Amino acid sequence: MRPLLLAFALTLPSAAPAAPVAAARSPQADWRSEVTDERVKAGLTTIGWRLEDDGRALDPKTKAPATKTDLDRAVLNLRQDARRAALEAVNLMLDPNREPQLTDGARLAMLAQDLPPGLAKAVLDPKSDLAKTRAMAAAELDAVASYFDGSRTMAERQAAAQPVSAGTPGPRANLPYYTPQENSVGDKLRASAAAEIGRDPFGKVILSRLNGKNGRPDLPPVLIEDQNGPVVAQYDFRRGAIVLDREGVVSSIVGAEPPAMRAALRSALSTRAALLAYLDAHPEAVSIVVKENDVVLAHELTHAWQDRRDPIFREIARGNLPAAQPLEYEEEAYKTKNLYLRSKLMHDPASVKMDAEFRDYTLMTHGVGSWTQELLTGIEDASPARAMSAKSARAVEAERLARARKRAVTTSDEQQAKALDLQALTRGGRQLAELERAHARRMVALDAEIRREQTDSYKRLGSYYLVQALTAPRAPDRSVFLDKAGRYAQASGSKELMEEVRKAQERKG
Amino acid sequence: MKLALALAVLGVFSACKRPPQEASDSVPVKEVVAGVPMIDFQAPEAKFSARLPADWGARSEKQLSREKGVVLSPEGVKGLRITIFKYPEMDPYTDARKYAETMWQLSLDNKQPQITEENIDGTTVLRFHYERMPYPKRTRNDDRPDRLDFALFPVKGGFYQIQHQAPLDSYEKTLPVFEAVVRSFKPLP
Repeated sequence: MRPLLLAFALTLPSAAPAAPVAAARSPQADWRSEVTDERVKAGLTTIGWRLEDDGRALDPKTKAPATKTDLDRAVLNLRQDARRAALEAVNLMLDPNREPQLTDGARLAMLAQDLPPGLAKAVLDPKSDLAKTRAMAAAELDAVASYFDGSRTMAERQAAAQPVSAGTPGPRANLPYYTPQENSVGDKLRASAAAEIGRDPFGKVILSRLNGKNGRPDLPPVLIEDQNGPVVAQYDFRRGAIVLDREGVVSSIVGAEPPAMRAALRSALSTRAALLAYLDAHPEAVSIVVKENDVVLAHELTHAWQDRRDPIFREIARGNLPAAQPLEYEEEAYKTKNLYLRSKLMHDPASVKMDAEFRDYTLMTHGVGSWTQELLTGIEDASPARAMSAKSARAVEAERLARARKRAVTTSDEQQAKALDLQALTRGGRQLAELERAHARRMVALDAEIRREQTDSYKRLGSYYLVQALTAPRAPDRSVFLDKAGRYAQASGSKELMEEVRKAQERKG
Repeated sequence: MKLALALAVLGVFSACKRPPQEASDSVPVKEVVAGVPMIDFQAPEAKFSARLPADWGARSEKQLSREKGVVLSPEGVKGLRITIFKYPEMDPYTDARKYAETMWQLSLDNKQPQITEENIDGTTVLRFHYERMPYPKRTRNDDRPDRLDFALFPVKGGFYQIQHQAPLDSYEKTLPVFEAVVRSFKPLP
């Protein structure tokens, strides 16, 4: 299983110069020739577009093949959104009142890709005048803000100004499934995930956080799509759905087959349609996918819980907050999936695979403080424009609020629009502050739980390695696992486990 | 590209007022190690001084409280970093040797790395290294393990950990930088 990395990130190359002029009859789009940038492709998928293997780009609203004009417009929106995110991040860096911090050069280089060429050049030129660069960034931010402000209707503003209530869906794409078969596979994956994760006591806790009106877990829809880079899964808050990476799903299915069968099966599943048809007809394959990815799913279900618990994702979806990947949410989701894995070690160690998630768990158990640091640094590296703390997002939000305050108005409609925007942005800032406070409380509790049971974790890991040692087919593996079981037994102080390991070593001898 | 960018970063911030002790463009380069300019740096909250890479951006502000240490990473190179962490502030370990002896939990070969002692300016520093897979993965098809090199400086009630982490096939390029950090490291009273 590949490691987990969420794909909220969307950083795109320089924006297109302008929207193409709509032709009277625009031809049907073929994304294979028109969307060559992987980031744009991932961005379109993230907002609900379906890029089919045959080149059709299906519109999330109509579920029909889009015209070239429609696709171009969607790409332009994406580029402008990426530009705004980059501008806001750079703007924060240029703030003379900000506590100085030697910035990460990689971050700046990544951000520069999405900046207007003139500003990118200024930012990267050591001889640039800082005040002029700041002014240039502010002007560009005004321009991009106008782009988005101008595209919003009064009705949308009125809706955005209303607080979101916990538990309500908020503005989302329609049901994300495009076909009955996709819906069928999604439902099977949801049911299988609920059954698999629900076998574990802590898994039950994760599921219960998603209880619907009937008092039973109401898991979000599950989709299978191509994901970008090392992403194996994501929770897409814009669609309220979990998305599994197609290649990861195929690998899970193929990996469960005897080696001689794998190439043929992989070839048979080479299209998305074939994969869906196979999953629809083979419940055992659905079960394999879920068993291979249950820890990852526990992570994504935690994001789904955050989405229902807090207004943050819904406010982002409404445009009231910057499109950030909140690091607080990542930290909570990663810790939660590791606690799920710990619970599996206790209740069903045979179900735990010695994979990347297991290694991540051992790293966290070894030192949650240093593990957290490495995790968050890695996420920031992967997503320099979007991965940010609530504190940083609040600084961006404050800039947006200040910009909206300065907006000149002449008509009563403009006045009303401004008032509504100020209302929404002010509330957004408060919600981020609340997230910061709540997260600090939650992490104190979670970290205490992780550390409190460290000794027990050693005992569980010792038992786990003992089982692995007794069942490993290769003698060198048996030896290494037995050695590790002994070390964990010592670390845990469990005389009972030490005795079991000693007996196993005697038998081996 | 790398150098140009480093200059660019400095250029952007050249007009910013920095607090004293902050690594910055105004701090003179003391030496160049493996092509990396090094500056003297003091971390009053984490209570140490060391010679650090000038352009590796100390990311101690956002995700790491300053009393716990610093994270340094160069531009444009994923997965390469040097960290200086203070224990038990970072995690509840107080004994450097006992901590070093837990590394079998993390090493890719499941074995305890060999620990050696080195006298640096009168301090017995514990040295070891091991390999493990990075998490999260750097890119989809990157299966290179990381090599991690350590130096533990015992102090009263705890210790400092200086760590160099880089992909196994390229760690040697920046190991001299790490060594320079280790040789210059001094806990502050």
